[in-house]
Amino acid sequence: MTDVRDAASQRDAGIHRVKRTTRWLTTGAVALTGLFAGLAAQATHSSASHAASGGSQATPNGVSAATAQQDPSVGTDAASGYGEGESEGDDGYGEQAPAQSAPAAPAQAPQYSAPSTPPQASSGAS
Amino acid sequence: MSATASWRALGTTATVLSDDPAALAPARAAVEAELAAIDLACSRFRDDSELTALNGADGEPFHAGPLLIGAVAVALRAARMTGGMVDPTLGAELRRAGYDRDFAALAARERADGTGATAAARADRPDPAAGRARRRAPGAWREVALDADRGLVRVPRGVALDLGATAKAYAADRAAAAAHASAGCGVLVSLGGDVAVAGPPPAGDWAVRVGEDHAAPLDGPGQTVTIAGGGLATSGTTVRRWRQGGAPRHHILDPRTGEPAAVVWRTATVAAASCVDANAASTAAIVLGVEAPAWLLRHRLPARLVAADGRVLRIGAWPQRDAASAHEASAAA
Repeated sequence: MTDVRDAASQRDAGIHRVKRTTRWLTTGAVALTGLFAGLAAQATHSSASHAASGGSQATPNGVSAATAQQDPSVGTDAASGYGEGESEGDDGYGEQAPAQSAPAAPAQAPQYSAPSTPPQASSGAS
Repeated sequence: MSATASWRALGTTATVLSDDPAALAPARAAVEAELAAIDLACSRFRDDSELTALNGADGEPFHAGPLLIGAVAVALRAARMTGGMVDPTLGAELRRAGYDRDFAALAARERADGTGATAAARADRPDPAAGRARRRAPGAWREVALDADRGLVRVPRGVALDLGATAKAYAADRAAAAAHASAGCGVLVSLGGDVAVAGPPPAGDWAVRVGEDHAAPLDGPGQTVTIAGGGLATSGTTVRRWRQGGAPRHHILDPRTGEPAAVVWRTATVAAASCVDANAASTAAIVLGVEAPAWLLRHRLPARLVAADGRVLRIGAWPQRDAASAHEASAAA
């Protein structure tokens, strides 16, 4: 009889451990899912912000300021819209950090024009 | 119904379209004034230009007017955002390649003596095998110092700026803004195929024929697209060409070699938020060659590339082919 109770007790303890392990794994999975979802949302937001900024930051000169991209050659633009020059050192030119930029995408991509629409201007090499 | 006017300026064709025909005259006047000022500030071919004086400053700081300061800032920004593929410090290399005068004069010279290279250019040319790629120390543009607040720019000794790649687009952006302000309606300005628009577009937007040569008839080969804002630019290797020592040359140099870029694309047309950005990207695409599609996709720039064999590659959100175009492919993000 004692052996039967011990076996049942061991079984219950085993089930309890399995439940506890499952609960921890579930909690961990939920937490990791939330973490990765947050990171993905942040990355998507950055991309969307960049795309939106391309056509929304037109300066009086008609040029948009661009935001940073992953390309190491590009980054944020200067406030002028066209950016500033490179830093040179201690000769009076070097007080500004190197400004970087990326070509800004159009607010709206070119659209297909029906063959019946007569073109008004041309864009070709010159 | 828009009205249009065209004339010669900056060594190419200037065109202005006004959505209000009655406003064409003030729009044109604004564009002409802007182009005249840009030419005086930025021409490499005028002895009286500010750029010529800057290139002759022998490494000393140079006081420049706001237009040249702006054009240099634009050129340096183009260099940064293309990783140096659009480099304003290629003036000496262009001269060595034979492009040492206005292109119309260069073409006339070529017709006259069949070389296209002036005596000075021939004397400067260190490599008789014109067209053979040499290595060039990259990144000279990083040594150009600019202080916009004080109106100072300094170019390293031995380096000559050529702003041709970006100054024309800068002029188009500025001219469109000025024409819109003057005319009070939507305008389109095209400088040799570099297109900038400002103000509200007409019904149906601006219809632009994209082809190989900006001077081709509007019903010539190509594709018509519409744009509502920003800029559109086409760079190409087939139009502004000449011969030097028997070798064909074109005006888009690869900054890594100082020689004309390898012809992977006949033309590259890019749409961007401004004409300056479109021009920088289209020029970079020519230089980048096979790497151009990935670079354009990464920057979400709609583009149309025409390969050396005539096949057309549409990049990103560039519109579908028109019915008349064959052999077109697309690359999507």
